[in-house]
Amino acid sequence: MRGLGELENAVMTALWSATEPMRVRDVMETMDQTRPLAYTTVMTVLDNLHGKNWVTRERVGRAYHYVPRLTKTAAVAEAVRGILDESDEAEAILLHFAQSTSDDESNALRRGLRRRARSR
Amino acid sequence: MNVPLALAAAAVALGWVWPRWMLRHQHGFDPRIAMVAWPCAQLLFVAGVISAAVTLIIPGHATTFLSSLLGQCWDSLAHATPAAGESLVGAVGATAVLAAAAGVAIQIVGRLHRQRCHRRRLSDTITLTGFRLPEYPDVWWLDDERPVAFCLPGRGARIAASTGLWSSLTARELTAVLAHERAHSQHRHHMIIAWAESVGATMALVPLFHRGARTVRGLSEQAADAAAASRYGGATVASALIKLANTPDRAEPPPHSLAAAHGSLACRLDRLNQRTPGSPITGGVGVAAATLLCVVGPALAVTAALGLLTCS
Repeated sequence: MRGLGELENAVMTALWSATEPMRVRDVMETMDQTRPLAYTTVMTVLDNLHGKNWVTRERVGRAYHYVPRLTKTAAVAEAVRGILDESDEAEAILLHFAQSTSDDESNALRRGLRRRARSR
Repeated sequence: MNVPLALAAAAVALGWVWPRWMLRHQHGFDPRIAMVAWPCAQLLFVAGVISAAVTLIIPGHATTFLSSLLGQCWDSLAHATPAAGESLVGAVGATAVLAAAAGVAIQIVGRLHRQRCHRRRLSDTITLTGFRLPEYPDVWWLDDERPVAFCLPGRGARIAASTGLWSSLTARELTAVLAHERAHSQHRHHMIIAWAESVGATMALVPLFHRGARTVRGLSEQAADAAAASRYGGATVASALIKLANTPDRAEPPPHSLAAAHGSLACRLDRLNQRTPGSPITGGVGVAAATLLCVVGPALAVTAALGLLTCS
């Protein structure tokens, strides 16, 4: 049994590669055919993704049609932007490697390092 | 020995004197020691205050409190109800301690809950949009040209990095950056930060907590730098730090975060360039000795002063 994250990943990949809104059955058909998934499994995964605001859906007839809320590139860009913004929120959730500096300061730091390297 | 007063004196020394000493000297210690020293001193302070309140509130444990404090004259004036006075002081103290404990608990729970929500969102982004490479089995890569590496701490900790790092850093610098992030997650830095920032927000009047909240995050970065530097060398970590801080496509930090970010970056580079970094054993012994002095010194001084007062 594949983990939920992996299933969500596979479903999102299917939605991102599609050009039109997809029904549960369309997603099932696009996904890896070597290990077919139950209809209800795909439906649950899509429902979860909708709950997490990764996909939007519209009822057409008796079935929902699903569309990704953002393109894959936009989703990554949004996340990276959030991290680099150094908002209190970003500070609170993670520990990331480098903070931004002003040009003046980083130039001064670089000069200082060069001097130290020379003096060794 | 007057137990509550001695405990109170030790708490005052820990709360007000210890942070001044620590801030002046911690740059000479191993950052991993300094980072753990703050919560330890804070817990000692809390233990001291709680013990002082408890010894006051339990009848018979501190019957000499007021009499020894103000001499025998006071005793003769108030001998009828000395225990009631102590109980009142103890009750007020205990209420304050309970209120502070409740405040800290609410802060910690709220903070952890907010962090969990944000982390889950980011964790989903990593799972849904990221990919992994056999060379770095524990790292999730995000396809973005802006170089960034981060650790999502907590249960099921994740290390993520952007593909932009590949063009910004050399292979060795890249491994050092990832080792830095691994150190954050392995040493549970987020727990110490959550504690320090929560107690700092609740008990901001005491420098031990207020200063601790401001310094622990920077120390965690230095500690992770030290872990990476021990494997890949300080110069490698420093050059990676400078390259990433100079990324042309970086976001401008909001004004209120400038001082903290700049200060800590300079400190980190300074420490990475120290020729003789402080040994963990020397640092540990130094901090422990100073802490012990802060606890025992004032307690003994108070006991001796009261002894002189009551005997005279």
